Amino acid sequence: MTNITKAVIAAAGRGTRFLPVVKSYPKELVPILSKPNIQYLVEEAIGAGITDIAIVTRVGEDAIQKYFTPDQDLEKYLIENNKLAYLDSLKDIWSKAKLTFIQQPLSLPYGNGSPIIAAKEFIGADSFVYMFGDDLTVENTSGSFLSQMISTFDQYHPSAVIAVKDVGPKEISRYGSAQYIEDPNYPHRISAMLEKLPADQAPSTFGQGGRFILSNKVVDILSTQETGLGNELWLADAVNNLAKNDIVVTQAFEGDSDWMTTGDPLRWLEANIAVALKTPDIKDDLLAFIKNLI
Amino acid sequence: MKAVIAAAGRGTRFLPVVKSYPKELVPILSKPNIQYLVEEAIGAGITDIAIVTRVGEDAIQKYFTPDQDLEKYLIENNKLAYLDSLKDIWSKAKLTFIQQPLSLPYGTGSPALAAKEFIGDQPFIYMYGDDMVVEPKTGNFLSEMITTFEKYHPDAVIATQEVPWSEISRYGCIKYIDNPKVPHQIDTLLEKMSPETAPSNNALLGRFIVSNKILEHTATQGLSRDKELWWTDSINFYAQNSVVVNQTIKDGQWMTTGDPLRWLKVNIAMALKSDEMNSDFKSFLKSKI
Repeated sequence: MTNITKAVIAAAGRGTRFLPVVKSYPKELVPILSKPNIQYLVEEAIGAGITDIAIVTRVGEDAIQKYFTPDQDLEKYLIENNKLAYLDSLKDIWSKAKLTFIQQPLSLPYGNGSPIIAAKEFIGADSFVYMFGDDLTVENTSGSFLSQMISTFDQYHPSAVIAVKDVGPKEISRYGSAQYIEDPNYPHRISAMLEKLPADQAPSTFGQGGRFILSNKVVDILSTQETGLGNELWLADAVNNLAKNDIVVTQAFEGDSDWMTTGDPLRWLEANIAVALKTPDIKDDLLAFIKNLI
Repeated sequence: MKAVIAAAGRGTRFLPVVKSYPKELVPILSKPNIQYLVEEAIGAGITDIAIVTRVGEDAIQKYFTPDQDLEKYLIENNKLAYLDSLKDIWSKAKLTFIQQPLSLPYGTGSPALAAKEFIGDQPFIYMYGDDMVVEPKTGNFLSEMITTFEKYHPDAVIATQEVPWSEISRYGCIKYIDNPKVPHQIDTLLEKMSPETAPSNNALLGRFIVSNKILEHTATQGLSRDKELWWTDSINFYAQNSVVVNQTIKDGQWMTTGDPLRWLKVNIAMALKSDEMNSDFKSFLKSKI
């Protein structure tokens, strides 16, 4: 049995690439089909057996918390119109996990390391799952890839398991690239994640995806770490610190689990299509539509 | 001429996400659905636009209202251009927000009644918020409808698109009358006809130009199907007793955003229209088939 029961979801970005629509609501509530982006991350964590989930948002942002809070007027309307089933996915979340909402203090720097510091109390002394809100795992059974990461963590007890995907030489310059070292005891062990190098300098074509299993050591490292590139606090810097002194391994997306990002409208649209093509009742219709277009 | 956009639906097919915001703010790429309708009206030269929402719904109005904190942040980060499309709307049109009173019944006719004062004594454009016209030049089809209205002075110009005969039963379809003076005059609107009995394969879509006197009929016509107040009943009354003409979309396509699958198709169609996305996106689509 795993000790990993907590997940922290970083949802504190501005999402400016989705302006003007995110003038109205946080980027995490932009839909993938009929559910907000962030709900897929919550469901992924629950699918991997996580029961305690913290969502770290910007200061003053309460729309995400409100979304995940029951709305009696709406339920009444849906009951009267025999449509309550539309809330089944939320009811499922409410029955399976405890959600905590943390507003990231303005005193913390920008960067994908700061949400972990903001969630310090929530994390406590435990190892935890960390998820970037812009990254979506598209798979047949929600949470199956994350479960594999947790199994790897439980088997080898590293200080971090990092999700990676073989993105090929053409794309690797857009990502952090995994530098592997041979270690008979720890498969897929890395010595560093090297940021955004051109293909001829990147140590591998495995790019970093936004899923991590982290020992709580990372909280202390981040708390004293200086800001890096662009004056932001980078998780990758903390991971490199761990990789230097400790064991860090990767887990590659493979089989039916794929990693997609939803950080800009085009990729978000592609993620919608990928999810729709895994949705039995609309898949054939959509495929026929696409075939007809191109 | 003024435009009224009906945006008072519940959008339950988009639950749970519309638990957070009205269905009209669901995005098509980076802009909310309703912004495309506002831009379509502006593209047809309209400068006075009313959006009719549900009671208590202020998110749409808030979206179309300047946000100084956001602008300050964007100026500081050299990203103000992200608001260009909104600034363009603010410079070209006056927007009015009307909450549909609970005393009005459900149905497509009620938003027009709620906008009665706004409409005043002039003909107006009526647009269903769930319907999109995807066309090379935004507002072009609506402009053609206006031209037709001004040429023949009918009581209404309605809009249709040819659909495959096998699908006509899903839509309202129209029956024409031969009138040498008024081309494309219609006799009646028929609901859910089978391909064998449908008089045409011209399916009705949510764009209308109507004389304001139609509202007198809408106000008194009573409820019909599903106990709702149907706008098409008003149109039918005038088709049978006066002159209503049809305009068919030629250079463009009508798409609806009423459910997630159709909404996704609209997003795909819009991305293919966008020069900056087109080539990457086409190779993505090819990889999926």
